[in-house]
Amino acid sequence: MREGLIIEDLHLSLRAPAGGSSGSSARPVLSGVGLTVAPGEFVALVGASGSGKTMTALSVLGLLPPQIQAASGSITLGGTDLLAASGAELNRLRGGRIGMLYQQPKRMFNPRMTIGSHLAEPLKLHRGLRGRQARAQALELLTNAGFEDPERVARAYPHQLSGGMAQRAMLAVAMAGQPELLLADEPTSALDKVLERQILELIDTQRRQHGLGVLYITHDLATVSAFADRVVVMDAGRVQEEGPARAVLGAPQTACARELLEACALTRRRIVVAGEAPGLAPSRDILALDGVTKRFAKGRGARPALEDVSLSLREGEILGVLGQSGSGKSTLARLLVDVEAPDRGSITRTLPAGDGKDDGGGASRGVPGTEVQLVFQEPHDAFDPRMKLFASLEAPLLRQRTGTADGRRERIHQAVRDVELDPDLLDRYPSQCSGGQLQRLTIARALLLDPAVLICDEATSALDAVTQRKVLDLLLRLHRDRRLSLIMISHDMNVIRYMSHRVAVLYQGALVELAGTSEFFANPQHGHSKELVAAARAHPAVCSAPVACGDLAACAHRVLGANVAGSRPGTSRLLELVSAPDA
Amino acid sequence: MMLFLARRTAALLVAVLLASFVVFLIPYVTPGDPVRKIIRSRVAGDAIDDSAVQALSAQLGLQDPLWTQYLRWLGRFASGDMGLSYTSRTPVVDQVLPALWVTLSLVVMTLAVAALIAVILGIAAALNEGRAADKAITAVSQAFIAMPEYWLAPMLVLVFALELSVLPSAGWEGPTSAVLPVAVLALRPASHFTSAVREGMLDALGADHVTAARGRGLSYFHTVRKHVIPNGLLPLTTLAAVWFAGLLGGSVIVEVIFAIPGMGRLLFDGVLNSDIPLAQGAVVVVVGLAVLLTTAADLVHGLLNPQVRMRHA
Amino acid sequence: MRKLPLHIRLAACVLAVVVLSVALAGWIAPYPSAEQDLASRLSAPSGAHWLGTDHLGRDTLSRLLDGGRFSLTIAALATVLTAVIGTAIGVISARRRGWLDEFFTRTNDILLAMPETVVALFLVAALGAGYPSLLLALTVTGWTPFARLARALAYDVSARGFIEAARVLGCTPWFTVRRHILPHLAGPLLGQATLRFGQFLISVGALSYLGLGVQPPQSDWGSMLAAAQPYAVRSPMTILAPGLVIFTVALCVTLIGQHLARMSSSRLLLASAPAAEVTHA
Repeated sequence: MREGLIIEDLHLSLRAPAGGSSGSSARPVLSGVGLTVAPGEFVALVGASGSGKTMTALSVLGLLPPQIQAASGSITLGGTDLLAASGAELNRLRGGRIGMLYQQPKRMFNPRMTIGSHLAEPLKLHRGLRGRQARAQALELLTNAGFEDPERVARAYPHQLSGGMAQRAMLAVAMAGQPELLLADEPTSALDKVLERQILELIDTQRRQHGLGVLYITHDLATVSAFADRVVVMDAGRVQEEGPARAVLGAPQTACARELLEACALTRRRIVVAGEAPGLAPSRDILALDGVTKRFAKGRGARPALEDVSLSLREGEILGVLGQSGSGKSTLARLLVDVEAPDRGSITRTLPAGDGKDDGGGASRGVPGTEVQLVFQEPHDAFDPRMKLFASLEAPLLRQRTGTADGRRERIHQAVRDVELDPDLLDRYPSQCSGGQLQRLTIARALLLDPAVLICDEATSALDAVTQRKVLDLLLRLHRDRRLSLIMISHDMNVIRYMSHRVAVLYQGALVELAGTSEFFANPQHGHSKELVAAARAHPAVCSAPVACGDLAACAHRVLGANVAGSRPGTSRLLELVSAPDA
Repeated sequence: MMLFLARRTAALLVAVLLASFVVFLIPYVTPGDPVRKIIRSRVAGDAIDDSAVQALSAQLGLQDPLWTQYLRWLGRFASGDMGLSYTSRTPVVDQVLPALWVTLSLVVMTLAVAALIAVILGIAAALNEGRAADKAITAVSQAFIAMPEYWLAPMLVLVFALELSVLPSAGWEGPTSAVLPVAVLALRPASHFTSAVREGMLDALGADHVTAARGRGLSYFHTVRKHVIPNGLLPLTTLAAVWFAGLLGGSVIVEVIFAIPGMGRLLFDGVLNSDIPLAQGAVVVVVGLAVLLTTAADLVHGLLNPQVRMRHA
Repeated sequence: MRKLPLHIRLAACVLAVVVLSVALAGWIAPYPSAEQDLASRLSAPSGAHWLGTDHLGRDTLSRLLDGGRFSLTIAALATVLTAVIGTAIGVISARRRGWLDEFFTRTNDILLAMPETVVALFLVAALGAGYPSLLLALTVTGWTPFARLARALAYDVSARGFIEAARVLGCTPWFTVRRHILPHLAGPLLGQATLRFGQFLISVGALSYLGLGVQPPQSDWGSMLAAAQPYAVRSPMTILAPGLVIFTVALCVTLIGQHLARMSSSRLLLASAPAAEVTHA
């Protein structure tokens, strides 16, 4: 009998719709997928969205959507044939021998049941525990999932837990049946780096203690590089590449693996440019916050969203604002664009005067109230779904009541070409465009008002790594060409490091650190900053591509500063450098 | 939870007070001399000459400012003195209290029947989504929402009381007399509830946590019983709150048609005979009842839903 | 052109026939609606009287056509009035928030508990029976569903990025409401209005049935039903016909309204769901 999970030559296909109007026969979803997870092994299944990785997981659980069927192949777990298993057998497997983690843990709990009742289900079903025994076991599971107050968590309802807590509670539920295999479907994609690391460490502990096989599905290679034994790269329903983590990350053989890696790696490389090339002399402040406090919740004990923040943006600067969710960074953005007014303190805008040119399309820089523009996180939400994109871009120009229709059209087309898109796209509706295209159009729409400052509030967080990189480069070009000052608000260390001249760290509504980028990453001062930098280092962005070595090594050396012991200048792979153990 | 209760009770009080003030104004805004109307509602004698009117209006404080009169009226009303009916010359409260019980039992029975039908049919439809049973249930419940009570009632009377003679055509004595009124009154809420239960069940079936429950190894039936049905039926409590007012309105028609001695009938008679004290008493009591039942249903919804319960904790 | 389901097309046709014949009642009615023919009282349907006659020998079909004018116009009027008032209040609540929103929401809660029929009875007691008090009664309680729907939708839309984007891009509040918010409400509100029209038609019938609506000699479908009731056994058609007309019209309107509501909500869902990468243009 072979141990662990073995998937061999699995083919899944989409059943042709009953009507069959299009005449298409069964469309393949997976074609010949094979992978194994031995007991105690941590396997990362990596791929872009739509590559078939979630379908692979669902087929293991026997929970495929009804329109998808397994055409051929086999799935066995410790010798049991999962594809041939009966309903009752599958019920015993799910939650028993196989535990599952999901991408959005809060939605995976019944909102009307406490966490304790969720734990009771698998304990009763798979281990026959009831009453006091079950309760004791539930508390132990919660303790193992890193909760210090398991009794309170057991009594809590799902809506009372944060995202990170919910995922740890889900891990407790998954472990309740003492599984031999844990399927984790992007369990940390919605969490920040600190929480992500916590969850991964918890999973890893369980793996070591119980000899648990882990199949960890993710689109983010950086996440798993420090934990995975083996990496399987999927694309278009096929396994493209497979091997030990170091081999795949260090020397990817296929184009798709390389692309995934580049997306993470390139973010790191720019530091050379960001740190040195812009060469902008420190100049005057164009935006200044002085002792700004903003409070939303009323009542005693409510923490203000922002408290006594003083911060300034210099002309021509890229300022990175680093903060986890709830740190007040979105409030900061809303204050800066004048959507909210501060409760206390002041915001001074000394924006450069317009250059006075008028190309017939309306006024130029200095349209009152629009000198500071904002790019949002969710590009699909930034456009009215009922309007064609051209109308969406034209609307703010119409408000100015100047210029001709032709002039406006010309300006809009120019702006769209400026963000490297084809103006033909403007004839579409937002739902017909990709996230990357829409995010470029959001930028174009903001640029139409010729702002002096562009604030990007998690502007690339919803994009996949490759698109993210392209949008970031576009922003850098606009920054150079247009004398545009940028504020990059993000929770992503790599984005901040890639883009910023200076880094400001927000923590629980307060500004806890403000420093030059390289200085910050080399030597963070505040406790929270240290934690963030440490989390980023624990599984650093993977650098792999065979690129010119000298600069990179220097860069990595500078980034990690004295902390990188045993760095070998001249090495051809940054990976080895940055993933070397911290001293 | 206490705050939630307090808020609800406050809103309830405000609603009833507002309604009572508007009702209090009836004798002042309707055609005729308000003083005589009020005296007529307070004094048992039949014929009153002009000099007696002067004396009585002073005695009853009808020259006082309006709000003083309102407060006095409200005080009397709250202590159960609703005045004398113009037509029967007996205290209104003696008519209102028995009628209140009749209407309350009619409405509660109707709601129970409607909910029972809706739960059975709604769950059956949702679990058979897209099949013939679902389509039939959906079509029928859609059609019956457009069925006017005042048409259905005479038709049912025609068939069951006059042609077949199996059920009484009017009155409120014994359980058989309740069958037709409850059936008529329950039809529209039952259709509405059925659609709502079906939608709620489909939402609950598609919820992510149901997938997760299956992933924990719960069988299909166990999952439906424990995670789908309780969540799918939750919208019913909100809907019941919305329907209490409609049922009390509908009970006016049903009580008139079936000659049931309830609040609706009383109110109707009061308005038809320009019996102001009777109408005043009936309106305030019906509105109070509607507000009370609506609030109770809201409260049940709050109790069953931890998110609401804790937000107001 | 989207293809409509068969039952919706059928409902629309029936509705069009009823509305047209009521509108053209003066030309197509076989008899003057008030013409009495005591010789042929309560006659069964025949070639001369397609739907028979009532207790005064008046032609039922002619009276249906005539009575429909009242029933349909007052229901339509009440629908438009409540839709406009409710939408305005809902959108203002959602956009202004604060105490105004709180005030409207509380008012809404209170009115929701007020039985329409009871309010109408009360108004009749205060103002007398007839057209104005009937319309007032329907409007006083009737705007609340529109306000609730408009407020909920406007709240949701306001939370979307493109509304904040409009503000950052310098659009005025009224421009934003007109250009971004109202178009999003239009579909669901149209569905709601259609459904409400059906409910108003039933309510108008109920109030007329109770003698609170139209006053004799004018008549409408509800009052015809009430008048026919004592003769139901002798001539079932007198009671069958007006009720059937109310039911049929209300049913058609409800079906269309439910279809509209479903379509607009599914389109709303589609519009907010990000599509996978570029699809066909």
